[in-house]
Amino acid sequence: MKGELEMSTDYAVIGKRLPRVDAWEKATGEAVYVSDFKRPGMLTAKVLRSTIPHGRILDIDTSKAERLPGVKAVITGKDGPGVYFGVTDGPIDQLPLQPHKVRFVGDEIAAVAAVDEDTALEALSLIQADFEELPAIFEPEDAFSDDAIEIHEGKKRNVAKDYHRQFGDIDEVFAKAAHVFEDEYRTHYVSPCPMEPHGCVADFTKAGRLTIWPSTQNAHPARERLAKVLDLPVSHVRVINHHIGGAFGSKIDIEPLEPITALLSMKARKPVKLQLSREEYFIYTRTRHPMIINQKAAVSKGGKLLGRQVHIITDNGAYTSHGHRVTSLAGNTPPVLYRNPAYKFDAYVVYTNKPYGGAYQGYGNPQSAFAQEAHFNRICSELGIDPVEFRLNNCTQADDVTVSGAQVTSCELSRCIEMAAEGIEWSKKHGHPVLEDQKKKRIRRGLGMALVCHSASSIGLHGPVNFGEAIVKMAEDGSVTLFSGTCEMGQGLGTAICTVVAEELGIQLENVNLVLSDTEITPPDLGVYATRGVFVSGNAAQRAAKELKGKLFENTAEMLECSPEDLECREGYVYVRSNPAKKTSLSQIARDCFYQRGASLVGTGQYSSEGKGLDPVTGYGNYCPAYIFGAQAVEIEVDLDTGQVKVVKVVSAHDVGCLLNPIGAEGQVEGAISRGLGMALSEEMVMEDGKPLNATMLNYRVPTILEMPEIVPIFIEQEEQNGPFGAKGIAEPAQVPTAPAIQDALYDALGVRLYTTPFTPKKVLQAIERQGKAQKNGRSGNGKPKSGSNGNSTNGKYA
Amino acid sequence: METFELHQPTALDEALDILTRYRSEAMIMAGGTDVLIQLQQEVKAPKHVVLLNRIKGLDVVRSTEDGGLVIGVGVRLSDIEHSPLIQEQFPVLAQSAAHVASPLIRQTATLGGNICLDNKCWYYDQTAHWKESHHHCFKHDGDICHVVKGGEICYAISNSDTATALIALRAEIKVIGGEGERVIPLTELYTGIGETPIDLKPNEMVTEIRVPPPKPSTGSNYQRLATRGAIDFAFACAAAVVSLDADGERCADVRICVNSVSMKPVDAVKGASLLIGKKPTDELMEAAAKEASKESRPFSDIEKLAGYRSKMARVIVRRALEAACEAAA
Repeated sequence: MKGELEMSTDYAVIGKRLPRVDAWEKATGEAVYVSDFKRPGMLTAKVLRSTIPHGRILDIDTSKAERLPGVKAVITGKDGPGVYFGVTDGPIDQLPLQPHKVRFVGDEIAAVAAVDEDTALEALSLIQADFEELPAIFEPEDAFSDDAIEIHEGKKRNVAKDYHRQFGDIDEVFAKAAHVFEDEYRTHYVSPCPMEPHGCVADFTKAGRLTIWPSTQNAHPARERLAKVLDLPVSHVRVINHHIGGAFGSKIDIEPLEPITALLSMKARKPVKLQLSREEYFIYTRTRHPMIINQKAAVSKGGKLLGRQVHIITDNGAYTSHGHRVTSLAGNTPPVLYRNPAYKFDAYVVYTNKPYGGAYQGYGNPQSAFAQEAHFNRICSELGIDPVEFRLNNCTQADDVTVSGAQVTSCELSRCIEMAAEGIEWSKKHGHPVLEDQKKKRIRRGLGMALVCHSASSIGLHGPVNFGEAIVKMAEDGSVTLFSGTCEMGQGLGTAICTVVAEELGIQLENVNLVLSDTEITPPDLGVYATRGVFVSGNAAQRAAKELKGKLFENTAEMLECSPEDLECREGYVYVRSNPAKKTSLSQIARDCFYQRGASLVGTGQYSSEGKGLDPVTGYGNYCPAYIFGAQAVEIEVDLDTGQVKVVKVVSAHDVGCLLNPIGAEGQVEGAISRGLGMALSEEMVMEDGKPLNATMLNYRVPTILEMPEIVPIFIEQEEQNGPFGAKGIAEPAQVPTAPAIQDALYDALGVRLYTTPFTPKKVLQAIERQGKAQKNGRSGNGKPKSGSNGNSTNGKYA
Repeated sequence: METFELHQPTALDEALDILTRYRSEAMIMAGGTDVLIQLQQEVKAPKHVVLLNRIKGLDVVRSTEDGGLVIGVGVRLSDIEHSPLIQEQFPVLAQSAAHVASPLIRQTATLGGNICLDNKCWYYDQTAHWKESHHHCFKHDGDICHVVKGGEICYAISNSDTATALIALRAEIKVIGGEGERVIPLTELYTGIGETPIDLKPNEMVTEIRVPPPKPSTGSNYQRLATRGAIDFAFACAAAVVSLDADGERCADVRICVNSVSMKPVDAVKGASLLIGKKPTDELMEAAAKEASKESRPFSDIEKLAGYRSKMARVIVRRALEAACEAAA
């Protein structure tokens, strides 16, 4: 790893290659996940789902199932309070169980809790469901038409939500520009595919209290939503998280599964577990939204971006979940990554009778960035501008206020671009696809680059604030316990926030114990999404540690008879700065406070980002307190005979603010790149009539270790004024530029551009052959549409 | 998963008795890496499962006096992959074994299980639950094929990596049960019928694989194309075994096998014959590969077009031939 340190390097814990705080229990198998968890007398739940993509429920007869010995509860859409749920400002369009209508193959219609799995499955087979089938719509373009049947009543043209934003004088910019380009790009269905499929245990006691152990990224908001859906007082619901076996956004919210488990427990008055199988996970939980993205750019003679228009149709699937916010972010990000004097964004989130999308690492950004970066790379080749130069010339800089109102603070994007280019040997290798090695004559090499801007937390998912709170309390041995309402889902956030506390208090990382997300114990935190963990929960933890430190200093000052301002914490001691021989250990202070002085050593800290977020009407404003920027360069090899693409090397440069733990940050970058490779090359939920054909790890092809390239993470450290110790975050960014960088590398290797993901061997080979034919016919075979000048926008709609 | 009775015979006679008693209600399981998944998904629902792991002698590889090999059906793929004898004398077999699934699976999966692998299909190999919203296909006693829309037969694809290599090595198998013991060329094990790809009677089983000794100046090679470097079944694979004449210039014997593009591993006799008695020039190898691809009769389905499959078959046969010739020289 090449690290560029510009910040204070005399940290004791921060920036050190320390193992994660939960490494021991995970490596030994002691860590408990939902599937490991048992309660006395616990029942097993199974869910009956729609086998048709669209229809009316005429009747559900559960009588036989109810009579089966061993069955303790059967519920349908008629059970429960019938409260719809959804995400904040979108259509609230989902119920735990459908009472009237099914909208995709997989819609929950009944559920059973029984003494064991076999009995539960047998009970499902005894439930008779009768449907009246309705015509189903699988393509968003078909759904988005005036005569289309309404999947949700009253939603004309099946539009769940639409966005129309315009900043700057777009018409004038496009009328006067030297060049105007237009392309259409399409992205496909991919699955977050965490190692642990969703599961949940619910225990409703006779006293009317519900405790629920879901696998969730956001325990505190989950309690609020669950209470609403179940019509229980919030105080009667307790949400406790176990270890989470990965989520990547897919466990950001409650899904039908949690209220179903709770309703079964409420009916049976026994603890109930519902654990989805891998197949159920694939078919019935949320995917990344496919998008159809039209990109239009106005560019000056010298290659300066003047204005942009982005039009998106999002394939929402059967329900909205995060579809609207994902789409909104896809439209928010482009003007923050590049300087554009004018920007227009129109989007329609459209229902179809298919599995529905949700949050997945990048949250609209991978789709948006693919279209944007691919579009810019085409513009570069049209105008004969080096893609690196184009980006340096147009990218956002520190302290910019964008045309859309985003307030950029720290931004080291130019240096990210330069370092990614240098790391991949851009000037030497770009434009030289023929390898010197004769043995590799059927191989072409290609280089590509793409940029990313991602939010370090977002404003507005749960309302206008972006809140987190933490408590740090000290024990008699000088160790502390950090209570945070945030979630550890494998990403390493626990380690990151413990690092912040350890550094602040001058103690070792292993002397920070961690208690996460139990709504009865931990203070509220909105959870982990939008790369907010380090930023929000880290800030809250640092402030809590600071408050505790203040109390330590007050007490120590009295003990050592000095001023609190003259004290500092390090190595487990409080020192007098002007006379370091004068010191006392934290354990001594703690014992003194508890047993002699009767003084509190508990600190609390809160963080809430300032600002109002986006104007709901115009979309103008700052949606995030800090933005993370990055550049990624890839080197690929393409097999000319088979169309197979091998990614050889990825150089991934990010301005992370302060690097809290290099191992954790590298892991995040490597993991995100593997998911990006999957989207680009091998992962695809193949749908037929609205149903995934490949709901298995055999045919849903997540990259294996053999597909992983050499990855060179570069972290550019430049203090972010709003972050804890200047840190921003690194959870999501590296996935985002992976697919467009590979797409650009394919152009460098072959001279052809692909406009749809994924870049399968078949598609690449077809492109190679098309190009071969074009060359034979004497045409320019490089896949370039005719050059565009003003008034004649060029269109790259092929492949 | 449906319940079944598990039998663990300790001798072949005992195993045959069980098979004879229960016939089509019984299913043989060796390593279980494929069969167990079929049971879990209820792709198959036998009433009796006959596990071979307690029968002694099935997991042995031995050389014959003439330099050939006899391999028991219970030999693990990882043992084939790492056997110095096989790596040196029959590299194509070691290479093919090394490509099956993943290292973990190869520790358990057996050679017998791999050559008797059921044909695969995106619709057929799904859980009973998944299939609820589909009409049953030919392989599931139904009357349509989902992967080839409008197809009038079952198009489930043959996928055994090791069978591909073994056919190119002219392997034979020993089959017991039924009307007694018989030794047949491995090619005869495959019917080319998607529903019932393995030509064994319910009371028969394969016990060993016999590989004849390599001829002088022989080179062999296995190639496959798959989306990922592990786990996936190939979307085309080929094995080539080339023996050169005494001068080391012309091909004295050539054997090519193509698999994973149609319903059975195809012994590409015509393609191979183009090279016999000739110098293996680039042009001839290309012609042989083209012919072999034609013989393998690739088809179009929902995942890949026939044109793409046939191109890929040509590409890998060519690559296998080139590598085999290089190794022979």
